[in-house]
Amino acid sequence: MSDELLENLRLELRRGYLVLAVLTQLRTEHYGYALRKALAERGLEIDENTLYPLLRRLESQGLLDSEWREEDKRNKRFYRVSAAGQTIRAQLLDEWEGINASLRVITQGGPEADLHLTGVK
Amino acid sequence: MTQVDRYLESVGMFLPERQKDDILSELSDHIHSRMEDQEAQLGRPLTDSEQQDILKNYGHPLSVAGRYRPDSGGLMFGKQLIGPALFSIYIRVLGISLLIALALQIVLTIALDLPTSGVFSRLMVHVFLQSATVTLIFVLIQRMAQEHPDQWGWLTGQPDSVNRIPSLPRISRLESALQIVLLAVFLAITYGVLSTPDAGIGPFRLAPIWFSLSAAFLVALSAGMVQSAVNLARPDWVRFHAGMQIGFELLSLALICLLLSAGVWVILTAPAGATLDEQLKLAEIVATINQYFFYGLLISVAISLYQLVQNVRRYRRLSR
Repeated sequence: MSDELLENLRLELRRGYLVLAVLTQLRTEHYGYALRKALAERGLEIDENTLYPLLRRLESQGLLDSEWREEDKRNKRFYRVSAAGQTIRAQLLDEWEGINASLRVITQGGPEADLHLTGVK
Repeated sequence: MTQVDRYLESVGMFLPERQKDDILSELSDHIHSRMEDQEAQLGRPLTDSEQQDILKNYGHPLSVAGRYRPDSGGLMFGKQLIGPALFSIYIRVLGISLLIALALQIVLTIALDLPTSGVFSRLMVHVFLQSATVTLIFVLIQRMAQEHPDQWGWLTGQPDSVNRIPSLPRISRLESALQIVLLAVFLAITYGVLSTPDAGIGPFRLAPIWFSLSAAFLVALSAGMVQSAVNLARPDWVRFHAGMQIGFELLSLALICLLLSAGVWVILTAPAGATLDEQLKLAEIVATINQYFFYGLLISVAISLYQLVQNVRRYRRLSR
């Protein structure tokens, strides 16, 4: 039960930062398989059954542009972040950094941080 | 057609038509890129089994297609029972099944001269049984897809070859699914007919023995549906299948013998105002029908005995 719960919470947590990671990695053009490999090389494993539906969703939301091109004798779909995607990515990065900073205070501060936050000396 | 082509064809069966080609082209490129990468690492072409491992790793076509249609609905009861890829097909099959139930009840009511006052309740029972059966079949298919990501060959009519011992006997899933549907229809008809004591055609009525044994018929048909559902979920339980078949043959034999002991299976309700001549003619017809029933039941005993012996042999062979 606790394993299943942990897995569900982990997936929930991952869902948000996967979007950010994909939008950031697609500053340079990639096709699906190459994108997955690039993310994996940077420590972020992503299942293909999660990646492709995510790419389609981001494209339908106007955050990605895509183009079919032939490479290595096969048709591949290349993705790149769109202008709207770049704006959203910057805003999401700010948001993520803000959350990260807050979490650091919460997780590392202990009781002293609580006193600091409530203004008690 | 390669293994990858068949896999993609299976995924395509559950994708929205509008996006199908686009999704499959991308998926195809991904699978081939992955295979090429692995071939480059190994320095040789992949074997069939290695290719199958890659496909197995992708997941069952039903699960893969489901990820592309998250907004297509599904059936939940605590956890997901029917996923988005199957849900639209489920709704369509349910609709067709309801139309069949309605048509069958209309035909039965007219053909067997059943009272129209009970049509609604008979239809409700029929609809419930058929809907429950269809739902059960789809839930089992979904569960099988989740538990056995390597078994998808049946979608394209190909044998599943991954992790399968070729000589291992299995019960056909299609056969099991058809059995469930047929038994549900029989169950609904049996319930409809035997819950109406004056059911019959024209002046002919079913003899009381049928109504005395109605509960046993319904139990036998329900048990048959449960067994078929088990076969559908676990086609590898061949010994269980043979054991249950023996039980059914014994139950069938007992029911046929009880029917035989009655001696009369159809009775006559002479229409008001019928002349003596007409009554005699009808009595002759009833006697002939009963004779046919007698021989029919005797043949059924012989068939049941033959099948019983076959199933006992099969059970013993599988137990070795």
